[in-house]
Amino acid sequence: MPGKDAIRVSAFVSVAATTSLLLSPSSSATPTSGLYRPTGWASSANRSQGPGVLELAPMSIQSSAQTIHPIEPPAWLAQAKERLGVLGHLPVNWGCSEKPSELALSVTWSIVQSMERRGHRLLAIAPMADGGIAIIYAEDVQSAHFDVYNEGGIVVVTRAGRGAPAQYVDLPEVEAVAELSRFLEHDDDAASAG
Amino acid sequence: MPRQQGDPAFADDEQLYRRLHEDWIGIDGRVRTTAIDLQGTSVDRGLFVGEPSDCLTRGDPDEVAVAVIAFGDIPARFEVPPEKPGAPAAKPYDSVVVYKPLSNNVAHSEIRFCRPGETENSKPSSPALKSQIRGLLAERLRVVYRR
Repeated sequence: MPGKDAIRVSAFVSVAATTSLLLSPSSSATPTSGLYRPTGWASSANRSQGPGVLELAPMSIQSSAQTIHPIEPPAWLAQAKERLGVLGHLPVNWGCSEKPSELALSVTWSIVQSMERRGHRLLAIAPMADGGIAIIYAEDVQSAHFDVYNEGGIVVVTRAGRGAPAQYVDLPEVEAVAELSRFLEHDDDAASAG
Repeated sequence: MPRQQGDPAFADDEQLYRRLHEDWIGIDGRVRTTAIDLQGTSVDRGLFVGEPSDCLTRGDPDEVAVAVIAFGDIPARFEVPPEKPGAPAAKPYDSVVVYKPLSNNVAHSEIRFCRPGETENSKPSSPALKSQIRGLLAERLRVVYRR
């Protein structure tokens, strides 16, 4: 009977299959002084140029009896966690009216992990001038991000293209993750069809 | 066009400059919505600004760029439709630009977000409205200087 690890690993099979087409090599993921910003890709237009993903450790299935070893999480996930640690220690007077709250930091980390399990790699995390955090997954022709407020509200913000109206949907966490994930997957489908 | 407060009055085409942290500039070079402070977004009014780069001399050393918006381009009102038919819509908010000079910055002004008819800043409670205000204002700001 498969245990939790087996389920986790099978989830990563589909994640790896998806991200290997989308992500650039790990060297492109570079934390900067104020921002976690992978630099190798920015839009669906250039995602297909990168070869494979290097962050996900190869799966180890040793035999047909399915001896499975847990998969290491991608390196960028650790960088995202580190980045949230930095935001959590911004000075109170960091130049703006509020810093991210503990609640916003916690919700952000939960969303980043949920999105990673769905195969979506983070583009950037940015603190809001008045508290809260934006979790950014697309920021070019299309845009897609979560606004996570200090009080705990989550808004999914999407824009299908330049000039298109932005959509703002206020949702609980699980639904918000599903909504943004659907948008990004539709974006990928459209890019591969084009 | 937004309401205004202060003397001298803002002209429609007067430029307002917003200083930016690196985090607030997207990889596409545009201003991120995170640059908008719903508790009052500080700007420098163009009447007292020579070059946009001058704004950085009186701000936080971590600020690295300057974006601009004309007074008349600031949306006067923000409102979001109900999420479902029949559901109540969030109350609208108005923008008010207030000239509020500081001892170390004669150009300092604030873009405030207020309930209709008021001039004191009041952060909206609706998360969707908050994000909409950020989005509508950020998309009209454009980066004019980056060091």
